[in-house]
Amino acid sequence: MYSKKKQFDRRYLLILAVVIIALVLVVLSVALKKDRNLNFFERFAKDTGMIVLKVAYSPFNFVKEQIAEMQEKDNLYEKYKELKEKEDEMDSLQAENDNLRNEVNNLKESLDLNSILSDKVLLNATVVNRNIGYWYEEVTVDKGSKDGIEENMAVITSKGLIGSVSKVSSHSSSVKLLSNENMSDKISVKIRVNDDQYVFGLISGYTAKNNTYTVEGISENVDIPKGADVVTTGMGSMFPSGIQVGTVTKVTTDNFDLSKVVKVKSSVDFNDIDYVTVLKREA
Amino acid sequence: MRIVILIVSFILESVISNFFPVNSFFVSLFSLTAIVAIYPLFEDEKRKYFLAAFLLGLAYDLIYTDTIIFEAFLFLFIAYLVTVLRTVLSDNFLNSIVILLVCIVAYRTINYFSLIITGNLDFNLHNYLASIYKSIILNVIYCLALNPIVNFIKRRKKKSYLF
Repeated sequence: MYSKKKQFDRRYLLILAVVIIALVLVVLSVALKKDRNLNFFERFAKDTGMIVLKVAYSPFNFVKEQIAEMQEKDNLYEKYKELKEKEDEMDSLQAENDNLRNEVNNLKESLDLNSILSDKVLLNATVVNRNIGYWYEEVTVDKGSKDGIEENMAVITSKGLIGSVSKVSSHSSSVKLLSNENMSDKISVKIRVNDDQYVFGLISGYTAKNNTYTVEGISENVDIPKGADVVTTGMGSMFPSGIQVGTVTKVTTDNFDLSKVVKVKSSVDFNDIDYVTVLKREA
Repeated sequence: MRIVILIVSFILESVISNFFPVNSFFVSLFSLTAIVAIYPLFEDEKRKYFLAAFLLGLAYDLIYTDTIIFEAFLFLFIAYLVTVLRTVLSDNFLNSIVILLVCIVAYRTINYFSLIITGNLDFNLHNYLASIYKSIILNVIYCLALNPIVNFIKRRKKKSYLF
């Protein structure tokens, strides 16, 4: 009688343990789900918190900017020389740019297109905090839905593409960085092989150690030179075309020798992002 | 005063993150460090200590990580771990650092493995270990900075009890 009761108790405990483990897993998967929209309460709390953080950060930011300014002053003459050289090229580049813009507008009119893949609106934002959760590879910026930011918009710095907007509240947004080794979204890119030839591929991964992306799915039998520019194609709904991603550092083939695998050094230093630009694709 | 320390640590964690590169050896976990460091101020009020840890975790969920009550329960567990370790280890400078190190390891381990179980991350031993050792230097310094403040408040509290 006693052993039967004991056996029953054990079975009961086992079932209870399984139920608790299942429950914990369900709660964890809900609690840590990243692709969900923030509810009203979360948005309100985040906005309030961000206002406090922005106020707290402003004196520190002022000091940081002053130090950076002082450091830049040391290299003023070199900067002047560099800018002087660039100024000489500016006139011809400006003329070429105007000419190309006219051509694009004429082509759009003749093809009856409302927008093209490279059309975008720029919104500048300041980084309020960087990767606080450590594992999430996100930065928070001080612009939100009130400024016209929406989920999945592309985010760049002056150097190139850094990621996309993952969550939006009224006055702040979270930006999911491409420096995420568990990249789930594939990004379509093109590699400039020569002046008028591109090969297309997909960014399938990122290695933090060398700050490089892996681009796969290139079946064309063309030589890809080291140092070739890699830019977005604009395919898919997220990223406009022509955004700098990086430069080619290594070209290999896959295990079956069927397609090329290209290592691309990112043009952005993900360790040090202070200001970003959010790109809104024109509808 | 205890609440002020927690709020300042919480804000400072975000501010400091802008001053060091993301992959540097100076990853801030000031909220967690504050939970560990201010335990002596809550010695006779454990329920309040747990409540403070839970609320701080909840704020962490809402403002920093966009998760739902995950950090709140994690901070609560860390607070419980601190109370257990404090009963075993005496209250001194070195033991505070030992407790902080144990808490950092526990926090990172639970966080990482929860994300792996739910399919948000793939296991990588190097990344896991890096998350721990990169969080040590800055937080130990912060804990050392908080220690004299906590001792001062504790002494003042004792004096006010005596008179």
